[in-house]
Amino acid sequence: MATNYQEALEKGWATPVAKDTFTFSEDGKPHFVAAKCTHCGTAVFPAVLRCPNCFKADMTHTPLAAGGELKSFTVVRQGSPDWKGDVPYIIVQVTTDDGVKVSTQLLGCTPEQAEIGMRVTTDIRPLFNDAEDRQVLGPVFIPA
Amino acid sequence: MTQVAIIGAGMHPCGRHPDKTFTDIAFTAAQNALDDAGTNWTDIQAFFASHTRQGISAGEIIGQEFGLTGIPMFNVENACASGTTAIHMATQAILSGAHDVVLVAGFEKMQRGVIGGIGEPSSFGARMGLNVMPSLYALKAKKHMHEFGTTEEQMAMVAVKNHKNGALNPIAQYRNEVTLEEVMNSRLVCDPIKLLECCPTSDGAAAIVLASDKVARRFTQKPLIYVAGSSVETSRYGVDDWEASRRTAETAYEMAGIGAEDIQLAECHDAFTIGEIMHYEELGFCPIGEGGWFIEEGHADITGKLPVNPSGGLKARGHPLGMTGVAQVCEITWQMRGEAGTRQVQNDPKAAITHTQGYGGVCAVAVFKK
Ligand SMILES: [Zn+2]
Repeated sequence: MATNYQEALEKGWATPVAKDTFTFSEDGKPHFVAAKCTHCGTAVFPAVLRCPNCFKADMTHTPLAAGGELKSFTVVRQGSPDWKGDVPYIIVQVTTDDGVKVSTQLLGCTPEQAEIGMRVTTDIRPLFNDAEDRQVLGPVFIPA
Repeated sequence: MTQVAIIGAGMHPCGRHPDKTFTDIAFTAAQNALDDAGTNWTDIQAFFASHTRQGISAGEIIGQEFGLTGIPMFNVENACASGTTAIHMATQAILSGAHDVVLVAGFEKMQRGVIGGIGEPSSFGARMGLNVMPSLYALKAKKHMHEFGTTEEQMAMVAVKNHKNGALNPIAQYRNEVTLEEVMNSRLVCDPIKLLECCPTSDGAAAIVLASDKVARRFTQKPLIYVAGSSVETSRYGVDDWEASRRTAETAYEMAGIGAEDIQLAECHDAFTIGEIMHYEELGFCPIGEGGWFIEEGHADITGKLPVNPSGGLKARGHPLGMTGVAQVCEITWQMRGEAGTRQVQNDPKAAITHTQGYGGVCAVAVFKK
């Protein structure tokens, strides 16, 4: 499925939710993209220009491990007026297997199935359609 | 060294005021504060106006209603911590020797429903639907429950207490009591936060007059309440959820020369009920993880050892964003003077604290002494 999204992005049928937030490895698997400090190794998602730990500016973009553990979650039943997708949806805080804290949505399960400690893995999913009716794709977690 | 005294406090009631402008409600609050202080507009040497979305130079628009005296005016925006931030800046202005008498007014007129327009619109967080205020607290609530065993009932108790207090406050938006069952059975907004655990959106205004101890007694014979310490700080990388509020409070305690154990009265940022539970811990009223017990054992009640949010808090008094930090100080002033009527705390507090926090990781604390 990810490969189809890769093609849709390349051909302009779909658009990423925000720039530089995900990438595909050679086998077509999706990964979150973090900024990693070349001095102290701190990695941050979404990418930032300067290291929040040592404040140096030498950050490189790096894909994160696909797997992670759910640290907290909530089910948004009444969203912000800015949100264009469906409710309810699940927001999660996940620590990836390479130790980076990521906040995004959890898809592919019901609110009742979400629980702290569960294993999750990275996926790319359509969130809503934009003004030009393109699918807006975002990096999310799904149950592992 | 100069001391900064609160010599006047005034409010416009919180609620829905579709027939009034922000100028109307802020003017009323400011006039009430000027009257309470025994001051005239012409005594005011600087004006700090706290609001988040009332437009360009909203402070000057209000100031012009009082008269063109040419004084410096400052518009202060720091999300939900705007009011406390404005008081911090006004206090610093007096401590620096620049001014002796200053006015702070916080005001807001708000839309109904969950707040939108938070964060950079094209950012990942905004586009993914992550910038939902109740969800930010809900994520903390789930973690607190998981780590410390805090229960949904304990969170609901905060709403019950604050509605009970708000019912006694003439300027509160909600003057009705609610039962634990009503809170627990209200609809989920962001699990585990339920509708009756969310502060409302509101219209309202509050104002205080601050003066140096050098001139305060020229205006009023009422008890003087001193701003003994204040601090505005922001979050750091890689720390626990409670770190910013704890650090900001410690700065303010140190400036005031007291500790958390001396605090006998608090107004804190109960935007959502888990917030108040975490603030008991962050401000040092109880150890980290024991906030649920602090509410359950009744310590935060008006009759408790450390009354918290006797005004009704954000939950019942209301939370017009720019107003809140200033309204908290109005409440502290009335309580420490013994003027709080049927909601008067019974422990004759000698030291008090106010606390607000907001989007972007800002945290603001002020400590008061009689
Ligand atoms: Zn670094």
